Amino acid sequence: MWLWVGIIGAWGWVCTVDVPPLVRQRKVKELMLISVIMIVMTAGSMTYIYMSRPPNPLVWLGIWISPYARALYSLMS
Amino acid sequence: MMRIIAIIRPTLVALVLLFAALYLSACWSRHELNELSIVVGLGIDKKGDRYNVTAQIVNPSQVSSKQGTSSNFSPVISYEASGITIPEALSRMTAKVARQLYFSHLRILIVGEEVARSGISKPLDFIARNRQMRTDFYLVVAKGTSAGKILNMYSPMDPIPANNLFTKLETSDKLWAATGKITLDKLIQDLSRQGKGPALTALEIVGNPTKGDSISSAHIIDPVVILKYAGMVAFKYDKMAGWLNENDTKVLNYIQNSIVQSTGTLSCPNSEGTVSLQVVHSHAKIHVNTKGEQPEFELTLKTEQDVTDISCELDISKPETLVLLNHLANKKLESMLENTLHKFQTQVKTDIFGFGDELHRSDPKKWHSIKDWDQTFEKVKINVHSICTIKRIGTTVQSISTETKK
Amino acid sequence: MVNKDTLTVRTFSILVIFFTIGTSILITPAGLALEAKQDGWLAAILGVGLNGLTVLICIQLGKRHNDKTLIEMCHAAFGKWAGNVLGICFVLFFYLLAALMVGDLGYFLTTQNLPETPIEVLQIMFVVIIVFAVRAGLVVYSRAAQVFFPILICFFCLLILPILPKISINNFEPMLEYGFMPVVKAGFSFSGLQEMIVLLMLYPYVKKPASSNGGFMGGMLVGGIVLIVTSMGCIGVMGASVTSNQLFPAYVLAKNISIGHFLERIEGLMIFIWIMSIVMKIVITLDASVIGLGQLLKLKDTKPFIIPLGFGIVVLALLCYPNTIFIQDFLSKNWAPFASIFTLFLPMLLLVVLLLQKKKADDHPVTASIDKQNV
Repeated sequence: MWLWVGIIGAWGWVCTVDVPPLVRQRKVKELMLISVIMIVMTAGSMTYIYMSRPPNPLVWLGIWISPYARALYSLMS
Repeated sequence: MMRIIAIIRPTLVALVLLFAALYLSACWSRHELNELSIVVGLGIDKKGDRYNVTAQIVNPSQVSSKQGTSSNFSPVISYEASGITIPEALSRMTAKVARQLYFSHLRILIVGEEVARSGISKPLDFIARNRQMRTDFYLVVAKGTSAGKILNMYSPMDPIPANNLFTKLETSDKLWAATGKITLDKLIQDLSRQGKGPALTALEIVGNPTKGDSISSAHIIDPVVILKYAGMVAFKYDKMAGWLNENDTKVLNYIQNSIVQSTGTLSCPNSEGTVSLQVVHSHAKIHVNTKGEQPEFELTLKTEQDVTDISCELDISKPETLVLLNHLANKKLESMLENTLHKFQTQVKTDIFGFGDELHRSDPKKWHSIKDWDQTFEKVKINVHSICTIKRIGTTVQSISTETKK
Repeated sequence: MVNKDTLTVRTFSILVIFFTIGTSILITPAGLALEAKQDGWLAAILGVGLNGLTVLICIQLGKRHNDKTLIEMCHAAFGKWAGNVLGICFVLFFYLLAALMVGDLGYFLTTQNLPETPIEVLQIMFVVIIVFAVRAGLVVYSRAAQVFFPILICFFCLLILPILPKISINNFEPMLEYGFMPVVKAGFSFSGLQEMIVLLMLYPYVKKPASSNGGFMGGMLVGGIVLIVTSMGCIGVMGASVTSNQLFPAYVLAKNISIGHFLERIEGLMIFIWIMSIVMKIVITLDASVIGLGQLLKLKDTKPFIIPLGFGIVVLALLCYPNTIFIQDFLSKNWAPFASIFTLFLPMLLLVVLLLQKKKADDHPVTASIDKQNV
């Protein structure tokens, strides 16, 4: 529930403070980038709120890194 | 356009200020003082395979000295509950307690004898893991009684009995070597080391326990019931292994270097009577000799003593007397140390003095080759030397007995 | 946009000290004591030495190419496409690091102090402050760091001096009982938690007298000494077995402070040290990732992106750290090798490639000048 407060707060903050000057200066590239980032992050927070086992980027990282990590640590023991 | 901005801007500022004020409110999970019950003493007993937990809670209005004991409410209240584990018992206790239990001011933790015999590591895990608990309280074992009964006793002089127990243990440990104390962090350190078993203080009730739990007993000059520290309890791993009497506790404190002051007596040479000596400095050093098959230990105890009482005819003004007293003190200390070490090697069969730890620190390879230290400890040879210097004799020279005869 | 040469060397050193202390002061003694047992302090010294190596590499990169930012260095070394990929990797690493530290902060506060508060509330509250700091700019938060630095040192002395009498030398013996390898392993894990490369993003903004390199190294050494002293204090007072079993050993160490039986139970004040250093580290890391993003996409003004990225940090922290055990497992097994790719191996590669390029340019000045004219 508190994450919703955060989401709404973030959208509100961005739209009131950062977006109007960009709209005025017609910087389309920045606006697209901001909206992409906000949409990705909102999607991420939705997965955290609604999925029972949300995907964990560290687990993906662990799968890639663990052989190298184990090799490196076995060098040192 | 400008009018919209003129409306939006102040609203936004107001919103930001409101949001900032959110940071100034109290903590999210705050508990006001009048929602807390401060637990000062905790007792753990075992009944079958359930734990009986007793909590002694302060009644603050009755403790403050300004109001005095106007109404006849007791300054502390104790509640009891049982459960399969300690957290379950404490949660069950909330059905009886007026407010939420708060453990940060815990002063003393009393463990019943059955819990000590069946293993103290299980109930201790909750204490170590709880974020409210600190490590500055003392742990004692109840001797001849149950922990719950001890927490129900009144104490003279201090309205909070757990506080009384705490200060009593601190003072006695400082002034009299036959009492030792242990805090939670030291206990966990000793439990996780194989070379030194822990030892907890033993506490017993002197007097008639049935009369001690009413406040009228605290109104008498000669207290009916006194809680007294009586030696210590030795543990092997986490189970109780044996009791330590006064002399054993003194020896443990000497070897652990946890003596601040202590008093001992010698019988007078050449006449009837005793000389009392007070130890002011003490340092014990253990030296390990690992050349042979079994490690051999040299224990050197250096003490500095003062004469506090001469109740016989002894001519203290002669230097030879002091040499003689030194010699007698050395012999007495050595015999005390040897007796206790022999008792622990043969009867109790556990090392609570730290010899194994010293071996670990000076010769790790040898230590790792020994599988069971307590078994090896039974057979090792420990040579004891005591070096005692008597420096001062108080403010008078000859004893009153010597003066009187004249 | 911040101009170059805005930070003095002293301010930068203070930022480096805050950055080095960071999250490490709270969690590293446990990892050190677990691996190296009573030699944890030796492992800390070794780890600080390893950090010194990474700082040297950063200084060399900064000194030789101080007109280029990190991303431009990647472009110069590997060409446009590969350099872009490398730059994206760096920016993502900084971003992930900021998210993980926010997660650490949230778990510390909810474990020790505020257990009934939902963790996302605490993380959102701190990220709001961090976003404010990053939006205000480098100059503002470096001045804030200068204001907080004396308080940090004061509290740190208040933490260490009263526990010095309680240190027992027996807890440090026997030294090197299990050999030197556990010390090396623990030192490597320790150095993986410092991530000095992030400061390279801020290095172009430091005024460049000859002593600026000393500022970086000096700051790292001071921070390293703070960490070594904390580790020694934890192992000396509590013993290696108790230290390795705690989640936050520095907090338990602070519980032991007792000045004349009068000033006790002040560990709540000591939290200030840790929160301050963690927040400053997150501010610097978020700023580094935002600057990196701006340099990658050639944006003139990166201020509008700070709020979305800050919001993303909270989400990433919530997704990445589901529970305490996962944190312990990940940090002990995978983090140090992963961080060492970005803090040690890639900068070394970058330095070597740039050195070789420069050497080639020096050896063939004619072709180099013709190349320059053609371009």
